[in-house]
Amino acid sequence: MGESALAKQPAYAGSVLAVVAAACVTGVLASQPLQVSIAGIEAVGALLLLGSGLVRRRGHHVVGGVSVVAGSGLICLSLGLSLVVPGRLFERIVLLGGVLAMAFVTLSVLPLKQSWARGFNGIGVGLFSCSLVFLAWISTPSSLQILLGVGLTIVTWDMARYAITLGEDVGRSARTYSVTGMHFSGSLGVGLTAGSVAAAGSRITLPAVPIAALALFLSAVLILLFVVFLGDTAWLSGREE
Amino acid sequence: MTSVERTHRWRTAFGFALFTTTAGLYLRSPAVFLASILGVAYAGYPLFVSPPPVDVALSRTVTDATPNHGDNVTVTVTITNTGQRLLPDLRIIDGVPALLTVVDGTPRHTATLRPGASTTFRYTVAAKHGSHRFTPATVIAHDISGGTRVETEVAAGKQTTVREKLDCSVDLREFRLRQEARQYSGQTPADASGTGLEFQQMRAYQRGDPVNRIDWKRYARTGDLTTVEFREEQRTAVVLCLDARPEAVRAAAGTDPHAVAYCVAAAQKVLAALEQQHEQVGVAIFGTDFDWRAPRASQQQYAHIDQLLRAHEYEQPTPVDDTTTSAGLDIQQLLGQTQGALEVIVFSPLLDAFGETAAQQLAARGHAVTVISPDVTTDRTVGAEFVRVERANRVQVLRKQGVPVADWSPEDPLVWPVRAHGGRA
Repeated sequence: MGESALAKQPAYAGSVLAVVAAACVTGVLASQPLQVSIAGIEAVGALLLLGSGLVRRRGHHVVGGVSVVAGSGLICLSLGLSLVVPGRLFERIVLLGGVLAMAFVTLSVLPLKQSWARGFNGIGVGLFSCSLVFLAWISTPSSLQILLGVGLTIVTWDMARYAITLGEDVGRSARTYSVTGMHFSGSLGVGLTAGSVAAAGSRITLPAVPIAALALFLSAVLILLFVVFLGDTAWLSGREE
Repeated sequence: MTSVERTHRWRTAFGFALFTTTAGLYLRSPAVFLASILGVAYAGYPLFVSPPPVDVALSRTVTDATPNHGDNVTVTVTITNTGQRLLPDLRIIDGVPALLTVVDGTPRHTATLRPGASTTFRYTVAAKHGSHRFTPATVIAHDISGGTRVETEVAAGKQTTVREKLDCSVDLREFRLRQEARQYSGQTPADASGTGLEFQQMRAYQRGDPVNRIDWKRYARTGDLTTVEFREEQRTAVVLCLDARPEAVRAAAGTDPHAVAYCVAAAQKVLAALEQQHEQVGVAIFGTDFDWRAPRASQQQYAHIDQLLRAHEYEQPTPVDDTTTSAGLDIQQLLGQTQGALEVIVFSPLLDAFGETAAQQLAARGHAVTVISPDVTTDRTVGAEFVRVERANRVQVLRKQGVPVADWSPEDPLVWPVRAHGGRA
């Protein structure tokens, strides 16, 4: 009975990594040092919110309550600052998108409502992606900036999702550092490898290859992967569910 | 049973790849376009890692296998990777007995295990009455990408040094049957005097007393004819009558065992006492079905009754609306089965009229009835207080009608009511 009463909330370690990765994406979206500071303020607020649960579980309810208030306040402050920060309108829109996205990612790993967690994570990552593309549209960011932004967005989504599913299996009170670290290192390794390949590719000038041909090649790879994935599903292979 | 499942979690990476490809082409941004390589890489990531083979051994020990009610028992679980490959993401959920509450720690654990490596975790449960069986631990392994999930149970066959049970038996005191009106000899002490071996009393000779029971020495000394009486030891036919209806599956709090679990624990203790005395024991269980087994004295019978009782041990509370049986009909079924003089021990929380009616009707048929009633009522709400008062009234009514009732608080020892209420009722 007590066993079933265990809270199946997102695991701490994965949640912290997701929030840190989200803060990094927001930092990538910031175009001025002041905007980077706003991302930092929000990151501190998000970490305070996450830490409040841990502190309250150890019996420090007052400290936990203060952490909740301070964390929420800092996130709201960063949202407000992103609207009034000096700079061009489009830059502020990009930053606002990033700050909002980080708030959604934070909400996804907070123990609010289990069924909302994946939705919040999806909204947050969607906002990050849109902000990155908008940034590429309004300015000419470096390849490294975009690669870092997209890579960290995927890592943010992955770690938040991992924290949610791990929490569903073992709850919040189990120690999850080692398995989270292992999963994170794997994901980071793939991102670094692919990012290095992409960064190397961006330096190669191939005037004879039109971008349409590259797009077709990439589409072919995607379709191939998709078919391989579909091959795993029961309905395509004719197996019973 | 092992299940292998693809999680398809990296399908989302296809979305990233398609989004960045399209956006890169539309915006004519090589940087965004190249970022789609990341999406493709993550989409293909799970294809390059193979599912982890879950070869693990489990060891479970407890600080006290036979605790008292309310004691804290620390359970230590060790999982060892007996396979040849690294298990990067292992999640272990120990099979805590359904009626035990975890008071400290968690029975859920995660670990990364190299071949031959072990991980240990501990948690504490509060012991409750009954024999609590640990279920197999669930072990979930993911590959490093999280693309494949292997779930298995570490079953008894694979387990090593596993503590399967936690026995927290009822402290049964002054157990004594009410009547032994059977013609068979046995080991149960009877309140009636007769032709046993243990001296009971001397009384004046009555016409028809056996000649070998007359105290001839006393007659030689005093000239008075007196008869020696011995405590009769007779075999008794006992029926354990368990109220396990959905209405009886009620608990004082969400973390406490329900009344039926306490009834089962008490019935098992009584069964063990009767088994030691080689008595004839039968069982009548009013659950979702009516289970009946006529009194017999054999090891097979005792084992079968124990099995029947256990089958009702872990039932979870059921809404009253789900009741499909008719209580009145069940009692009639029991009355139809009980022939001759029987000792019937009714185990019921007396939360509704069922237990009271059953005891009254059985007593009216001439059976010696004893009621064991665990008290799971509370005074937290007005409704709960009302149920408590109703139950107290039922206990009083039965006692006034000569039916001994043990009003048993599960925190205390179960003191048998016969002697406390004047022996034979």
